[in-house]
Amino acid sequence: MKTIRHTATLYYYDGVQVFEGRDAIGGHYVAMLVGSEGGADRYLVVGASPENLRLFRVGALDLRTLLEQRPDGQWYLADLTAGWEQSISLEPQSAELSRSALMPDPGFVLHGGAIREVETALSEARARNNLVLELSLEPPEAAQGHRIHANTLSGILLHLQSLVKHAYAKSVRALSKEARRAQDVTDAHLLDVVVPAAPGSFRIVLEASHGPDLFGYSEVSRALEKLNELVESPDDPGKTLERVRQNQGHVAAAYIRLLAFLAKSRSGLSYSWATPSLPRAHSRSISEPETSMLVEVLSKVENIGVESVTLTGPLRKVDVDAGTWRLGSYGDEEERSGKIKPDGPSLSNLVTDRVYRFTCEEVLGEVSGTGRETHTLYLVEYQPFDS
Amino acid sequence: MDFLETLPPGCPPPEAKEINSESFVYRLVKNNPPTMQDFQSLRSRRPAGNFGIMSECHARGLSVWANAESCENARRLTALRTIPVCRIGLSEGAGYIQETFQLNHRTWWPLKAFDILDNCEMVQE
Repeated sequence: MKTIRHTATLYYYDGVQVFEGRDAIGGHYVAMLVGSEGGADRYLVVGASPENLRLFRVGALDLRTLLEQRPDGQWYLADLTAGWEQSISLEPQSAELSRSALMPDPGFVLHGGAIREVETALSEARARNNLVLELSLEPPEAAQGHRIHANTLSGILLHLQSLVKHAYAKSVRALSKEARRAQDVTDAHLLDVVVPAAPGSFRIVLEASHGPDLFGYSEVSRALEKLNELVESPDDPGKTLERVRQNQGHVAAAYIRLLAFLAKSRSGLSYSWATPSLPRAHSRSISEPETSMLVEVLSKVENIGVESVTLTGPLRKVDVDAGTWRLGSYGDEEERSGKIKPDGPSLSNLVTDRVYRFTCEEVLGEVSGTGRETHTLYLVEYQPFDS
Repeated sequence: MDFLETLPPGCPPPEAKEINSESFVYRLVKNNPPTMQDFQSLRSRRPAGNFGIMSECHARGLSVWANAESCENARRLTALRTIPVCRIGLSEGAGYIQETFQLNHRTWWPLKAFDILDNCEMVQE
């Protein structure tokens, strides 16, 4: 008789409702609770292709379709009598499953993806005495085994670090000048990969490059709290748009780029993060269908990724024909250069070496292939500045 | 604290939050109107059961949903199909609650003094 072993619980309600299993030669199965017989839970079990199982796990395929599209047409019943650690015997069934009352109704999906082991981030944070972020990805290639394309892995890390950088910068800007000066914030947003491939769906564990302070507080928390805000309601485009609008500028642009990358890679994303002092980990998920839906909604909103920037400094160079300019360093501000907006002001009245205040729009771009960020400043208006 | 059911040491876990504000949760109930049988934990219903991934503490809590949509999704499963839904108004003194397992799922450990039936309203029959 064929047997399987429980490998992952996919859905829970007053007991295990849906779980995933493997047989002795690595075949994938999915099982759904259908009732109880003599005190033992009875499950309907079918084989599942790795790709369909992946789609189900990320919320892109409903359970009924997964059962209908079983590769071999076989289905089984299994009574869980010996416990979850033991092999589960499958009894083959000959009746037509599609007409059976055991089939679930159409439309049952795993909202927010399959069950995650959310305590990993917390236990790692405590063991490392540092902020720990655990990512879980489900790209198509992960369906065939514990693997991920190098491009997908590098892309997700690049986009995530970019979002964390901008979220951190925005959070720090909200602090008082004194609070900003009291800490070294230059590279506090950096994350290090410490476990590149943990078992399970493709999981990566990162920790803050800088350790926490004496009270266990890590600066990266500021950025990840902002990430939590953005990923609060991925199934609700209206709420997500509202949150993204509240973070208009580089944070919004970086978040949209991350979502677009996930949609292109056909992967959902789950994460949890914790610091040693937190009582529990923060966890959020975006499914593959949600990433595509959000990209469509957010990319239609004009100027959501544009950051307004005010610069002050002496005008060092101006090219009226090319529409370019350069402001020298001034006080805490560094030298910056840019262009004029297509419908922006004329540069012809500007006087070199005079100090100006420029109001600009800063737009982030991406170097194709490397994913490296580019910043372009577009002058919107200016006025002479008298200190 | 006097919980509705006897809990093991360290239960509810430190991650659970004490309920001290008003909110609603949803639970599937077999009886209409609901009875206290509908609010028995898995362990209470099956004292000798092996519940897999759950800790003993969670086996002695109640599964509830944070919103009606998640409850509706669950009712598409064969074992949960057609089971009526009640909405429970939680408030200070209702016990402890924790986000567990999957999105919008909560485990609730009610206090004995909290009158569940008085705060339970059928929303889907």
